[in-house]
Amino acid sequence: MKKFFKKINFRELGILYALIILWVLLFATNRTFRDADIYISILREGSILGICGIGMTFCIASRHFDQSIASMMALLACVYTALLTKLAPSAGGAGIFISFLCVMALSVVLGAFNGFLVAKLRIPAFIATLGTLYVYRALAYIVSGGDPVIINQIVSKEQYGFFRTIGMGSFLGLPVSFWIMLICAVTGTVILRKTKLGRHTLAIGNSVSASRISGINIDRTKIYIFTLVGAFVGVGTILNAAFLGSSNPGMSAGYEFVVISTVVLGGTALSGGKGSIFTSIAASIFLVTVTAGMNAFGMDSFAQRVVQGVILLFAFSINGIRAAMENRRVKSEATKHAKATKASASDNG
Amino acid sequence: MIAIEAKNIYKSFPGIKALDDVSIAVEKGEVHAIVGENGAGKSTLMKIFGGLYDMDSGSILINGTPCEIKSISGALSHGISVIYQELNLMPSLTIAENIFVSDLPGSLGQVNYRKLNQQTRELMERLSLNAKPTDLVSTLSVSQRQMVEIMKAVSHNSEIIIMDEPTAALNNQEVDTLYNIIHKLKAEGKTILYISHRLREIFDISDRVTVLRDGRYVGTRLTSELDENALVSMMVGRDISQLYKYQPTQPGETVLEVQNLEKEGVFSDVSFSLREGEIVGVAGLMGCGREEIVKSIYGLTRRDGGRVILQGVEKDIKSPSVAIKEGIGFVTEDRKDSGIFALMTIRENISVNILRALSRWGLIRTDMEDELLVSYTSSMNMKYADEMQRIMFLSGGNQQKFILARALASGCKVLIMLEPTRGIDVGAKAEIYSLLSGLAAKGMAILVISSELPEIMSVCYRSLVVFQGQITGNILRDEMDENLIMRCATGNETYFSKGAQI
Repeated sequence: MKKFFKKINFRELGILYALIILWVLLFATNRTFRDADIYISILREGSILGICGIGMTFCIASRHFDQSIASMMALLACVYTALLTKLAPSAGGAGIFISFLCVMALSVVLGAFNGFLVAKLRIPAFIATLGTLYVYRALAYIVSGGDPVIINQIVSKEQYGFFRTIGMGSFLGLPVSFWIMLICAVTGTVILRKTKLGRHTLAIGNSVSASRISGINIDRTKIYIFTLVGAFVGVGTILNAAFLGSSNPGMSAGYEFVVISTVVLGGTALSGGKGSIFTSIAASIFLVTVTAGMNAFGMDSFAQRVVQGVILLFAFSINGIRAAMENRRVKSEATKHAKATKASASDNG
Repeated sequence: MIAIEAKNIYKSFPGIKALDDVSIAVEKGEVHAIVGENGAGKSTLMKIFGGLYDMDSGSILINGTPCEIKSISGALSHGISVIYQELNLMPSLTIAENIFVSDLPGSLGQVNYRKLNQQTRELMERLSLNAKPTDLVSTLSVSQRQMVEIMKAVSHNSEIIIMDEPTAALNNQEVDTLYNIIHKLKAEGKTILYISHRLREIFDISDRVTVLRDGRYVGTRLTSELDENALVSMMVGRDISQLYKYQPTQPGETVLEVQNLEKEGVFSDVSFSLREGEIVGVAGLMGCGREEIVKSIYGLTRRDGGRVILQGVEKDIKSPSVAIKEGIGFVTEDRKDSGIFALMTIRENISVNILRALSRWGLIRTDMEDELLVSYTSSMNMKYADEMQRIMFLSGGNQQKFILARALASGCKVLIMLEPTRGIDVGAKAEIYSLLSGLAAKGMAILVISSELPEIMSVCYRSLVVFQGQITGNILRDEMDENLIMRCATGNETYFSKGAQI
């Protein structure tokens, strides 16, 4: 146990402290936050956001970027409901399972395609995923014909109960999506900390040239990283569809920015080289809490956007702020040292 | 009259105290040399003068008035120009454009090319560079580019010109031209700060000399009052030959053999071999192609032709991962950019080459990683706080040992080491040398690429010399001599020791 705590770097858990303080403040000031329900629904939404952030943590830790995930979610959701429309009535439970597998497979393919563009065609990730952002979104409109699909209307009543359980149900008092998020987070953490792929991800984020000297296959690692992004977005999509009970091709617009912000807010630097899945998820729950808090206080939706934007900008400026603080600390220590040296010199003299 | 004065300068980087209470005063119109070993803090001090680095504390006075130098343009406006070690030219622009890039003549946003080229021509005549103002920098040789850098500094009409290792890429003739330029500038009343680790140049050109050691100020003397021995003892403080004694080894079987390596425009017809227990140096000037040769052996860069034979079998080494598998270890010359994984722990840094061997069912076994760490850190005397410490917080010497340990961990038989002691202090230097000779004694074949001749002469059994991509020397230890190596490195001589295997 002691060893376990030794491994945790408490200085890098800032977002967790912020979350606890925020919860305490809201508990003290708003009645809505004295009811357990609000926390359950925060966890439910935060879990979906958190799952999408797991793959993104790898991506940003390796000094890359994936802007296409919101479009990917929309495309996957539209494919999912299209498959359900075809398979659920005819093949029943097996049809739902096959739809699920197809969506997971497709999410891996979409992610790997991003990786291929970045690694093999040498397109900067920023541009490559901007391209697929458009392509995936357009495909979502093509697949859906532009129409939303309500899951309740395409599956039987018993089948819909199953979606309700995944999307809105609870297990041991906590949302099902929270438990699924936990499984995903543990898997992600094990990959990041305990496998070759995870180490190579961090190595590339630190220095591509040093990685090359160390014999790391950089192209392959990049493809794997983007594939991971896709896979976790796939899981997130399935939970999100069940949670919303619907799909539509315009859904989740702007979600990529929220996901990237949670990862950065969680302490994974945009400059790469380090990352933590646990804090990314804490940041997801934090962001969802902020929204819930603003709703509870009846803030109007445009003002909410301003607050969200400011938080995101703050997240992105953390590195700059940290560097400035670090700089000041080093300087003040150096000055102290200089003074001490002078003082001791004059003592001797 | 004092042109520029620095008082009590402190500057630290993570893990290193680069400057520790350094003060220096430079008289107007003098050539003031600043010397010290690698890592002494010379370049850091110059970068502070040049506005590239912020100092942590201290003050700078120019002509007696305190001033803050916040940026490169700030330095220029205070009349300071710096010629840096690394070349900072834009290769696809012309010489003229490069020189006057921050001050192009013309009006309304339009460049007056006639005037620009005329200005450049005048400057080139003044400094006698043999080229046209409209030549693209990419077509120039390394030494010509260096001259363009110098012209760039002179073009600002700065009162203080700082030259950071200006001769690193120059041959003897070009060095003479540089001396002429310096004399001219001095006659015009300019102040020159001259950094070099070539002692002969210091005595040739400077009026006074300031010595730095391990980030501290040692002293300032009139050059005429010093001789070479006195200067060296100021520089090293401790004599490295007392810290490290060469251990002769008897080379065994040939391990690595390369034949007719070739890369168009970079190197050609490179053949040599390396035996068990042999430490072979590779000397040469900047830009001579020796880094490219060894990088192509390791699979880091492509080459056009030639064979690499390991223990009698020809190998096609396409990438570093193949090289590691075939038993070649590689330690980079640029520790910060391509050596360490700065934000990762020391444990992760040491194991990164051999993660597959440390994994079971796809998961890295931390216990085996720890064993690896402990075995190397104890045998190589590395200092660290705990296994979760980030490597960026270690000193340069300790970082270097970790990178060496990383290469050794994959069980190599051939070790290629570029600039093994660049930027580390004298004590750690001696330790690296002892480690290398210990490895050689156990049968490792080692190739040491170094820009410091004393380094090659103190650790190597024999040394190759490269000039313009070709081997111009193969010199056994007994015959090694700084002048001989320099003559081979500048293409003035070829020398192959009798009876030496190449």
